[in-house]
Amino acid sequence: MSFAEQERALFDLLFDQPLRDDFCARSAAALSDYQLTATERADFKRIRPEGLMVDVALRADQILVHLCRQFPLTFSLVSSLSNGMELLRKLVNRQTMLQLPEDRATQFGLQLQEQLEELVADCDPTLQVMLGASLATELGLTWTSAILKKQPPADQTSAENTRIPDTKMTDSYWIDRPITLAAQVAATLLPQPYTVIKEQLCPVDSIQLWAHLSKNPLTQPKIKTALNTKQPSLFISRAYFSKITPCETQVGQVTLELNDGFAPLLQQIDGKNSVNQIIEQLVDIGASDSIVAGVKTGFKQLLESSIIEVV
Amino acid sequence: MNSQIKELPTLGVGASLSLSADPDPVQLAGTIGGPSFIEYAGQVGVESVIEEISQITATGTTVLFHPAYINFCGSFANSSAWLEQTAHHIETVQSPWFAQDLAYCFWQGGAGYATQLGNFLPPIFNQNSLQLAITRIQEVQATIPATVAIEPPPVTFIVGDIPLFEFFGELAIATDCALLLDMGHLVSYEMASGARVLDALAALPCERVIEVHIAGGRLEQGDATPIYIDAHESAILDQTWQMFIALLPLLPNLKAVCYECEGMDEQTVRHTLEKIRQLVRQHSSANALVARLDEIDKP
Repeated sequence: MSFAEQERALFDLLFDQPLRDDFCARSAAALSDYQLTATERADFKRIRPEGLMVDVALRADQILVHLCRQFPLTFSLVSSLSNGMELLRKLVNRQTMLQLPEDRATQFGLQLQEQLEELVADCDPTLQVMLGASLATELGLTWTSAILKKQPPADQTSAENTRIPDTKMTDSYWIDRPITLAAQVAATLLPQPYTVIKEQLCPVDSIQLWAHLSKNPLTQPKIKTALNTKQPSLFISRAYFSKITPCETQVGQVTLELNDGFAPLLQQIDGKNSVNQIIEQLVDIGASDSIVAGVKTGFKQLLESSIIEVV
Repeated sequence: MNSQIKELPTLGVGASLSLSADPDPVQLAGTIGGPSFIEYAGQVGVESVIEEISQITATGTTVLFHPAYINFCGSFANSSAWLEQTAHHIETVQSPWFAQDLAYCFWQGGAGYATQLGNFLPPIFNQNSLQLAITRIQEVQATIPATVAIEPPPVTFIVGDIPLFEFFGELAIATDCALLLDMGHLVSYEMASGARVLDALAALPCERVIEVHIAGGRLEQGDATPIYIDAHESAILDQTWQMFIALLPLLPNLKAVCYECEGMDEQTVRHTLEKIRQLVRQHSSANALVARLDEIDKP
């Protein structure tokens, strides 16, 4: 019996679909699980159900505009599935919205991941694989951003582009020094380079993408054409502070795409091995000069991007 | 009413625009027939807008900051860091006052922008909510010295039974704050509640209304009556114009009328600003506002 309980009911009516459906059918009687007095419950009787539904639809749309910026390729792919857009709308739910603002996209993505198997059950296997890889990639970006946002450096109250890329790492001895993965790094394997496929399947700016997809969902033939060629890729990202103010922390992502053959080499990065030691192991098992050169270039790119660091 | 409200400058007829978007606020500012002030919403940190704001103020145009991240109602307190930054923002851009919808912008812990909840989440119109809104406004006033004008938000549904003008009237008197009335938001309340806002006019301290907003909207057909949707990129509805004409004679201290026109083309903005100026001259009881329009019109 408190105002807080009324606030909880209000929030749930906006983001809990089963409760809302029940409310639209039975009015305030649907709120019997809330600790409300008769007077407090009566406050909800003034709600016009159709007005509530309009608010919910507009609100979800606006939230999805922003979520779409964090999951652009995934949203484009999901738009091609029957019930895909409807599922995205449903995931703007209590579970997502009760999170802190910086955690909502991650929670949304995790829920989508749980539903993905059922959603793509009848799809072309190529689309299934691409959708899983796309979501893993964008979830990795979202997740590392959220983690970093919650750890603003104690010594800085206001700064821009604070840490990376830090090219000072690549001195002339870098190749002989032990290397380690930086914090807030995510890596995923994709059947095609993320940036290439995103350019093909996200036809407008990310801020306009949700509105565009709502009217023009992607077609499966278009996706099939885009996924026709196989060029497996390793997508690696590192989150970094791009701006810190007393109120807000903005996080950027440095990203790099390498040949998928590079993936097992990431396992070798343990803070003890140097790049030269990793290359020696490759030579021992018969790696060609061109492979060795490619590996060396890849590590240098990782170092220049501050995705790996010398110890 | 406090002397701070009385001494606020009279700004005339202006426009609310998105910085870095069309129509270009810098281009519109200071041109003949253009807005005499620019209102903008932005991030809490002034550094994100200062470059554009400086270009606007260089034309002699006043700016008004309209945040969209302060909880003016409910149980969830505002972050002192965010309020301090807001005070700094307002002082830096020399916004004569600031206004925001009375609504939830963030939920539970963690400050944030209303857009993160999709939009402003409207308050519950009951006595407990009113008391908490007073606490929230006083919390803001304790940190931000500039006058705050509280605005009823757009609604498609209503929770609670205190009439809108009674709720905002009590709030304004208890906190000694100013009021902003958005004509479309009032129409939205009438459609959502089935009640005429003017029926509770006696409860509204009209002398505290310093700013009026007018903006486009669209109607969604409901079972019985339509539902008003705030849509600045749309044309101003007839019901909204009628509300404007009905209220202009009742607001003696009106200092600013703002056309919210994000997403409209420049020609429409100019024509609409002219129509608003004509209506103000015809119907407003705010002599200083009418005089300000005449002053701006002088060659």
